[in-house]
Amino acid sequence: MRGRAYIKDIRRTFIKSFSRFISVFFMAMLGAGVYAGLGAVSPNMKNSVSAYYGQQNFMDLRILSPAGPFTRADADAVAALDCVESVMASVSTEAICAAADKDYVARVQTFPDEADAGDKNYLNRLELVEGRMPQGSNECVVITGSLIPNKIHPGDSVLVKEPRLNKALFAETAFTVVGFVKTPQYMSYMLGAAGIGSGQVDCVVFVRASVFPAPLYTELFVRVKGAGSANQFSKAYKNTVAAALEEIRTAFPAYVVLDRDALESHVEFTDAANNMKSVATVFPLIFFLVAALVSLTTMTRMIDEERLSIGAYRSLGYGSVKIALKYILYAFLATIAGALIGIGIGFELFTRVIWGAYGIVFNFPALSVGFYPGILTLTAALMLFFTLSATVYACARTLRERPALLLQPKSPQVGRRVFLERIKPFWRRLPFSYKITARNTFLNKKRFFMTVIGVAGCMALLLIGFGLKDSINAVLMNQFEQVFRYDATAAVGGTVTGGLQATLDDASRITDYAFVLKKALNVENEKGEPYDAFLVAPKTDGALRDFIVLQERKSKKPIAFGSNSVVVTEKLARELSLRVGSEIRVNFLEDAAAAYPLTVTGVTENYVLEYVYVGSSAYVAAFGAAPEYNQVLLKMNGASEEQRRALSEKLFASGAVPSVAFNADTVKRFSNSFKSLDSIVYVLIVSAALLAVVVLYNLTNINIVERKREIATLKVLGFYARETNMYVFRETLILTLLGIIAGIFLGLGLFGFVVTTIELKVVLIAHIIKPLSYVFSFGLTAVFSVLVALLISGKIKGIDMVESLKSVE
Amino acid sequence: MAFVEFKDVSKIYKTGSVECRAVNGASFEIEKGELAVIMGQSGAGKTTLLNLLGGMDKASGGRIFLDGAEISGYSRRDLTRYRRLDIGFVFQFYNLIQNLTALENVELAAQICKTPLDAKTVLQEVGLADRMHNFPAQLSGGEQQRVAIARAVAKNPKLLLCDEPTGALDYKTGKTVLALLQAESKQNGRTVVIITHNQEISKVAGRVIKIDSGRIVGVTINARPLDAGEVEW
Ligand SMILES: Nc1ncnc2c1ncn2[C@@H]1O[C@H](COP(=O)(O)OP(=O)(O)O)[C@@H](O)[C@H]1O
Ligand SMILES: [Mg+2]
Repeated sequence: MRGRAYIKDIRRTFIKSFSRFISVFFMAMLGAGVYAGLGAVSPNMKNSVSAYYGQQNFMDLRILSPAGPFTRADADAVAALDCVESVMASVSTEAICAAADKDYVARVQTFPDEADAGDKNYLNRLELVEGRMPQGSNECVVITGSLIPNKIHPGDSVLVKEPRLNKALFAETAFTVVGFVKTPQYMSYMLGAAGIGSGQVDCVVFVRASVFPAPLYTELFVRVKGAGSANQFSKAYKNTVAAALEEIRTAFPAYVVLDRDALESHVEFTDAANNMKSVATVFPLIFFLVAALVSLTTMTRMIDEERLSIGAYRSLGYGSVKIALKYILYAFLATIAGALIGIGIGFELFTRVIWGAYGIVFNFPALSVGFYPGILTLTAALMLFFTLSATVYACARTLRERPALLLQPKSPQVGRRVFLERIKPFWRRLPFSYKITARNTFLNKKRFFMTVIGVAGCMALLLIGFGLKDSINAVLMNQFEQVFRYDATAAVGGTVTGGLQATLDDASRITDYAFVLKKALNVENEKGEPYDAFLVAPKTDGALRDFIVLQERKSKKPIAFGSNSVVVTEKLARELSLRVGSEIRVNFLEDAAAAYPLTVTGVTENYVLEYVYVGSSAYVAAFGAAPEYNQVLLKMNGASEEQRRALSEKLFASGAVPSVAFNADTVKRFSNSFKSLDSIVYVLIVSAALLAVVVLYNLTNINIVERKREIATLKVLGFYARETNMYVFRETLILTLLGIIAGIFLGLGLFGFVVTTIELKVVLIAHIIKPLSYVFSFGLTAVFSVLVALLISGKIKGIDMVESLKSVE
Repeated sequence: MAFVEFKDVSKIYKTGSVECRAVNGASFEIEKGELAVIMGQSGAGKTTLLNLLGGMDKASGGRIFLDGAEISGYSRRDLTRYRRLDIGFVFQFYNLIQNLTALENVELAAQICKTPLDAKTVLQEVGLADRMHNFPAQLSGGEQQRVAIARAVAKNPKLLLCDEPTGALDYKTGKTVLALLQAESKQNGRTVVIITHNQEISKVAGRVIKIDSGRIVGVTINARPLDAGEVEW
């Protein structure tokens, strides 16, 4: 029975219900696009960076020696190990450098003199971005962090002012910048912590090895045998490197051996890529759910409409399977076409947008967008599963009826009272038209839930999008306007000279100042879990709270700070499960072996980076000596760009202050890097819009087709166009409102999850959604539904009374 | 001038290149308070005629008057207003709104008119006092058609138009419905127009307009119409 008529009928059905085809197609496209697109972001990011690591021969392990620098022989001994592929011995040191307009905290680092691209011992290869590589020993290339964008230019000179190690170490102390480079070692624009100056590295200066004449090296970079061939983020890679790390540790017990996880930019990137993965698993759920519901409703409606033709086929003796096949084929084609196109677009779009966004924080290599047959198959399969089960379900329901019954029109849905009618006083007062709306709204449960879920999804996406922006912006405001009450930090020499004190007292701009010791440290809890933070020990315990607000975030209850206090910041406490009374051990970068115990006396509100504030007695008790103050916190009256510049010049002139960092500059620089998140917000808003429009359009459309007769009747009764429209739209409106309310809850629930997953390691993001964001989300959702109403009102107008009333269809 | 007047009215449907003259130069009159029947075979053009009179469709040519006003010149919006205030319509397939109770169906129509009748009273008159709060699906065909009549009557229209009102009903129920319509004309003085293809039903009418292939082929004045209870079919 493969009659030509059957084929013809199939073709007709497709042509006749093209708009329905499109709506299933679109839903599949949207659902699959978002799912596959977001799913591909993390692998694309990792694959691109993995290829980059391979190309640049990025180190697997880094070896430090607390006992003193390495010699050539030490390096050769490591290279002789079986597990080691290649070794690069290198010198790096922190220095305050004068360049361009001011002083910077720099890391000065060597790269091989005779380096050629093929040399397997040339690790962490530098890729020239601009200019040329250094030729003489008085030339350098640099990487600048996001701290000083566009301030240092080729041709500028860099002057090493205050080397942390012996000045005699350097053969040269003045260099000319001849180019800019990038390398996997510093892939993030945040270049890491420094033991000097502001505590943050501003730029990395690469010089030729001959700048350090002594045949001694501060670190060894190691490439592990076999590690280069695996994907750099794979389990295989990790296992290979972990084994090598153990072997080196055993062979050289005095060395500190670190893998890439000790490298800030690598960790930051891995976090970012993994965050995308978790985001990619939550959002698409909304789309999938809605897509399945839309397909179910659409296909059910289609089969209801084709009832008579199904009845005819049955009475002609066609089997259930053959009849159902037509609809299954229909749903299959619409879904697979939509899904494939959606996946194609999604694979490209999401990765490019998000890569571009992260590009503000990372100094990325070129992006390579991959093709993922696994994701494609899974997405298409899931999408097909949802649509086809919906279709089979709808078919089975109709085919179960006796053919004779099928040949009669389906009895109309029986009217039902709604629960609201039980509330008599309310119901009695309700205007008549609203009573009808109430009944209609609750008559069709499937449609009810679908609209509510669709609109809720839209509202939730918008709320999350806007909320993310609010929360991220709030981070900076909170930290630099609420927590830090000072305006600048000046680095000072080890001892506080009378001259400096006089300068500070004298400067009219400075209203108050406090000496502190600030130093990067590593904190461990009792279980030995580590976390990076800064130690801050004030000279005058009582003065600290004038400069830094110590309080509990939620209750705003002030936290006392006295000589025995040890106050830790909130996220540090959360990560290490610390509370008042917890014991912590801290150690410093330069001597990881020595650990000092402290007892937490308070947990304070804080948003950016982590701090341990230690009172004077507690400090002496823990470290056995009084702190050497290296910074002074300054409060200013008036901190405009010019006033800041004037002050820093004055302080430099005193000779006791090598560098000044203003909080205003820090805020600016952070907000730049947060701009990256804007495009993610836009992606959310656009997806939300598509979701809302597709769902609402589809539903209202089905609604109208199903109620053609009813609408025609209203027209005959003499309802004006506006009244007829409202008869339909009032329902959409109420469902939209319910959806928005549900969306607020859905949004808030997901928001917490999303914020926690995207939180960068160094910031605590407060969960804030401003009232205005609620208004915007609400407004946009409302605009989308009005837009759909406008699209649909043309259809209502087009319903012909004469046609629709002739006979029961 | 008569209450209803058709002057050389025609209606042409175009489907692609095919033209169909559903109504072809029809002229007739109906007096106020009369019960008129438009009779003809299936496809003769009865529904089309009624749609033109009811303001649901626009004539291709000719003029139509109701109570002195020219319907054929009305704009779309005028027509809506005309249907709203002047016309009560009873359909062959009732066209009740499934999601509204009998009473609510009547109220729905009544609430948009200027001088509506009380919905409950009208439902009582059609004998549905105790079924008022039922949904259409809970009513028999005859009961549903009575609700439909109540809905049309409650608007207090100048003209009650009924397209094959007994077409979907059995003989006995059909008679009850017919009796209601006749009473509406006889007792309440409303002008009622009924469409039918049934010879017998036309015996209750004061005026019978015969139509064939879009043309009026005869108008008979019936001096002594039968009572609805007396007709047999
Ligand atoms: N919308 C339309 N388009 C095309 N032809 C139509 C349309 N409505 C009715 N006709 C044609 O007009 C003629 C009269 O139809 P109708 O008035 O419904 O007849 P009746 O009600 O007497 O059975 C028929 O031949 C029918 O096919
Ligand atoms: Mg007809």
